[in-house]
Amino acid sequence: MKVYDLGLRPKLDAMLCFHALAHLGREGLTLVSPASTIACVGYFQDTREVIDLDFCLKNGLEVMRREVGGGAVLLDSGQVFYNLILRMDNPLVPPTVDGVYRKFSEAPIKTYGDLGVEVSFRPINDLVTRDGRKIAGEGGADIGRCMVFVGSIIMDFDYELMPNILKVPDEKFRDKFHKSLSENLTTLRRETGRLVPREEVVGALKRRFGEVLGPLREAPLDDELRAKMRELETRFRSDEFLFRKIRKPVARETRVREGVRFVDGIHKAPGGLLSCYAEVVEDVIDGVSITGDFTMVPRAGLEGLEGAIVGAPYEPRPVRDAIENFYGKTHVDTPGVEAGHYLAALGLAG
Amino acid sequence: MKIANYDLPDELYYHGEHAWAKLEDDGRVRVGMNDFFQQAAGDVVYVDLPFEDDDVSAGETCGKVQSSKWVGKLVAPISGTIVEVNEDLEGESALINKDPYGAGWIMVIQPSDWESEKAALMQGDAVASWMKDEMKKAEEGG
Repeated sequence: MKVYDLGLRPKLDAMLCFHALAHLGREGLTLVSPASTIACVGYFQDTREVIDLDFCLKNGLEVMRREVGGGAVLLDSGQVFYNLILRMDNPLVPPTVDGVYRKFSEAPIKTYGDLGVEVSFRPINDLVTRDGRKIAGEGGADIGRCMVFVGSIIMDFDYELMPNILKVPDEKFRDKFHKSLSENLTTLRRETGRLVPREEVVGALKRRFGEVLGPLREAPLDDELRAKMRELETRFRSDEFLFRKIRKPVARETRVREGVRFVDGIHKAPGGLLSCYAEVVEDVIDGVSITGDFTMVPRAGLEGLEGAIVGAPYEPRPVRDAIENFYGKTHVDTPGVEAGHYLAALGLAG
Repeated sequence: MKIANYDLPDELYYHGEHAWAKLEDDGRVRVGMNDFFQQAAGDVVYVDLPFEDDDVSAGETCGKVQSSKWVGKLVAPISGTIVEVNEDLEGESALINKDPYGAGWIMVIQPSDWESEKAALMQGDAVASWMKDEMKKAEEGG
């Protein structure tokens, strides 16, 4: 198995290499960090709805879409990305998604162990420390004839920058997201009290992936790979791909770690457009913000409605009950907006 | 037919990428993903459906699904023109998990050459032997 130890790569190259290998149907492991910061959205996300493009432009951040699932993430030189590309017919590839995560997470788990942090796998696809803080998120995709498994060892993380690249309804929620991120995401630096050198991380990853994959052979980027990367870069930079129309945006979800997520969505009710944004902790709504151009009389009732929803389990029935109880107990009126419309905006319809 | 934990109805034809195909009375072919696929993928949270009027070739990726932060492929088992897609999946993608052979269907194709292409699909005993191979791979790979 070839390992491409690519160091720090400019622009989108850190992400282009594994996509190129997969599109070429070639196997390999890439270990790489972006030289500059990239705001990266998941394959099914609507870039304009998720990312604060003005902020990214003003601050010189690249914005890209990956062909891998999940939510928006910040990629920077504080992380070493491991990207494993195997052909689907390789006997090493487990046939289930869960199996892939479990099998190939062994290498990063042991890598963290080598670096002094005890980490375990938490389904579906997080690596967590003993106290339950997320230290790596993983993802994957079937691309062409290959499966791609991706993740990163987080040496250090910019907790201040991450909340700013995302579109959030207001500063209150930005602060909430920042607080949640600080509490639930950790790094090698936080856990060990030192900035672990990149070379140490890469060395451990090679050793540990070698145990899972067999002997690894160092390989440089060759002409075929470089050509495919440039071809993909043109596609990835095109408006057609970056801002590609999503048939129906999912109620957006930004997961801080397994069990902590921010969900939001928009729903066009007969009485106007509704936008909801909620923090969900262990399946309970911990905070919610409702905005839109609908009419509420009295307008001050909005705060009460938000308060009524907080504490409800993030499921259709309890949220519906909370909303209907609120309307039953108060004289608040929202013509053309009913409980079902809030549920739809919160991604709880259906 | 039930093979281990997997339901694989006898009347359907199966493609190696786990799509199923069912010839309907009007000559069109209804397509979905099988029970093995939905169990392997886990909870499907999003489906990127193909578009009506698109032409597809057998074995071509014509859509994608997301489950567990994984993007998987929807593969057309036969060639033809897509004449209908299951828009219910846009509101409830979990139908693929809940009812893969019923409400979780993906699309209907007007086949361009059903008679010759169906020979490349699996049915009956071939399904049993294929699934056993898939399960063996699961044991070895997992």
